Amino acid sequence: MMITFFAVTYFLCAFLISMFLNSVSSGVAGRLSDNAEIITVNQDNNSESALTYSDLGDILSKHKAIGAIKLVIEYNSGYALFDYEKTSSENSAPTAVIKPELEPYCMTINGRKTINFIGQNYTVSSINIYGGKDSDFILQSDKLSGSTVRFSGLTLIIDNKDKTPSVTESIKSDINEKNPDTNIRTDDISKISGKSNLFTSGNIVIIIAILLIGLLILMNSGVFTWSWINSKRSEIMARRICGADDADIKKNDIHKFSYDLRSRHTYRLYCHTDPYSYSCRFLLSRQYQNFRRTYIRSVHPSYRRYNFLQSE
Amino acid sequence: MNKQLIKIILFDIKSNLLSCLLLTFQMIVAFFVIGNLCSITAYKTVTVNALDGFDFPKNCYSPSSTDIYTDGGIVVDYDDIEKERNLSYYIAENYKTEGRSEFYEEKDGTEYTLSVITEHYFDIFGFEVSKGRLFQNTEYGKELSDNPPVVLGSDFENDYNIGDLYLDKYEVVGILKSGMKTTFLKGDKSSVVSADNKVFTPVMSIESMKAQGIDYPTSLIYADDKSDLAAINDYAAENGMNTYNFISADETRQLIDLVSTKADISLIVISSIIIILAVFSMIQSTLLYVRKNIRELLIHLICGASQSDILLRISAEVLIINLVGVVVSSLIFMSLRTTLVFMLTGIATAVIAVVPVMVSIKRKPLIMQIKEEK
Repeated sequence: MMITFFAVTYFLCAFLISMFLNSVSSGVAGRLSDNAEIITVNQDNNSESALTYSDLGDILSKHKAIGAIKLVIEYNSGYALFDYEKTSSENSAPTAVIKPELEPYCMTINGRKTINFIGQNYTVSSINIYGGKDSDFILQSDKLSGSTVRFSGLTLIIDNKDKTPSVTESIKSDINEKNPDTNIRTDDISKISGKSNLFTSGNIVIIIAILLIGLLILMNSGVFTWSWINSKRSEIMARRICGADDADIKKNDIHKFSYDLRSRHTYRLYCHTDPYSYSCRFLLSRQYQNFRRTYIRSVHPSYRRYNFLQSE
Repeated sequence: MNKQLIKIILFDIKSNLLSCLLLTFQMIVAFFVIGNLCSITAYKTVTVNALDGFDFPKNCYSPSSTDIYTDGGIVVDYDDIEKERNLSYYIAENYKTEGRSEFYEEKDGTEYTLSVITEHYFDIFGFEVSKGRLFQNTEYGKELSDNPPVVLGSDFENDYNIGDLYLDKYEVVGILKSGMKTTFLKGDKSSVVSADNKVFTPVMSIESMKAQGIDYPTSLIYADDKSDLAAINDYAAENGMNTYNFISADETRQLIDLVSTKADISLIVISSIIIILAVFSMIQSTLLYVRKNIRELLIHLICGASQSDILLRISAEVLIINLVGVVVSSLIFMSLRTTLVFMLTGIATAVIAVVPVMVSIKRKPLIMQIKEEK
């Protein structure tokens, strides 16, 4: 039973650790460099000077920006990746990798499965994604020129490594030039990358659940270990009678506990090589127990009284 | 005797309080996971059954907006609503639509919500009246009249009769039966809502809707092929609006199945592992209890306790742990179905936890165990 208990426990631990890693994995944002910066742009999308995604694409292209746009839709969220440093794939069609949950929303256009985001059709290249907890979809678009949608707000991540601060400043000034009423805020990447904000409201529930179950495992293990030691009490006493000191008992018990967990067969082998186990086995053997019982009954005063009462 | 037995059981629990509390806590955690599993299953069952019960046309698709949310949420102002309204008129002019849209009427400073519905809306959701009638075909698509007809939900049954005027303007032609349900298709977030508190009025001509500034109902759009709806996105993008993805009723069912199955599997795995651990601990705890109190149990037996008293004493801890777990978890979830599931799980757990001890006692009576220990 103990082997099964610890097997289940180890399995649960592995399961919880994988859950934990999954919950704290920040996917796309986590793969950005430490130099990356976030620009949050808010504007009145009904004003004549409001920027469209296409305008934004032009600005990013001008500064050869690399990074992503974080897109939070009503029930899903994801990233639109861009790399304006590359020139070879400028004319490639925009593609998307989506979670299976988004597949029903796709429509077939020209024989290709497409999904629409930010006013642009994206060809779905794969329906299996592991991009972290906040990536239900990842869009790859070299140009945002296809979208004439005027956005009210968006989160832009710029990651041009060492050049990031200068690129960010240039992008900000260009956005302000096109629409002076824009509200622009710059933040450190840690705000969304998950590198320093492990305890966000989304993560905290999962972390508490994992810690709770972990605590239960720990306490259960304690109960089990205690009962194991309890069951070995007479054996430990026998060992002590045979001359083992505290350190010996501790050492041997730890060995035996771990052997017990691994295999009873190994434990039996271990008993044959353990100097104390010979004497211990002798003390616990049937022959010795019979001898002890007969001796005590004949000599010990309480047993004599017991026998007397029985005869009464 | 019973009082004494209860006293003894309580004393036993008191002497092993820490372990009992741990196991109770563990059972509550397990029941909490199971409760969530029940909620997901219940949502899935209710929604999928309701969707099956509705008569959605085959080639109908529901639009799902791709509006982008930022820190402060999307900005929706008058112009945005105006644009969306224009989009609804564009859709109505170019596609056949079904569904409902809402508008507001003000009376004495209070806003009342009315739902404008299309011709087959009542048929799709299988609405029936308890009084009066549903709308006639001739009442749909008309120009604005002085007293447009309305059908009221069952909540209004005591306040209005057929022929009365609702808000001094709308003529009541029918009152729905209680328990009528409707939905908006929103993928795996679709939910069934009651129509008992709703007020329905038939859709007017597009011109009248435009004149009154009411959205045309476009929650379901007919298209032979989904790709035919791409023109709606083209129109939206041209007007600087965010675009839509579309989903049918069948696809919604599949999506709910997919999402709930994923959630079910992980919750089943977690809850079963916690319960297995708890059962192991309970077995260990009861075996340890018997080992520790074997002499006392024997004295109890000698003093006249029956075998069942002893078994009750041994299994009382496990039963109380499960009982407390079930009661606390039931209070958290407050659902009869979930409580039944908790009870069944609790009983099964208790039985599994007690069986090894019972078997060991049956195989080897207490007196024999004491002799062996000696």
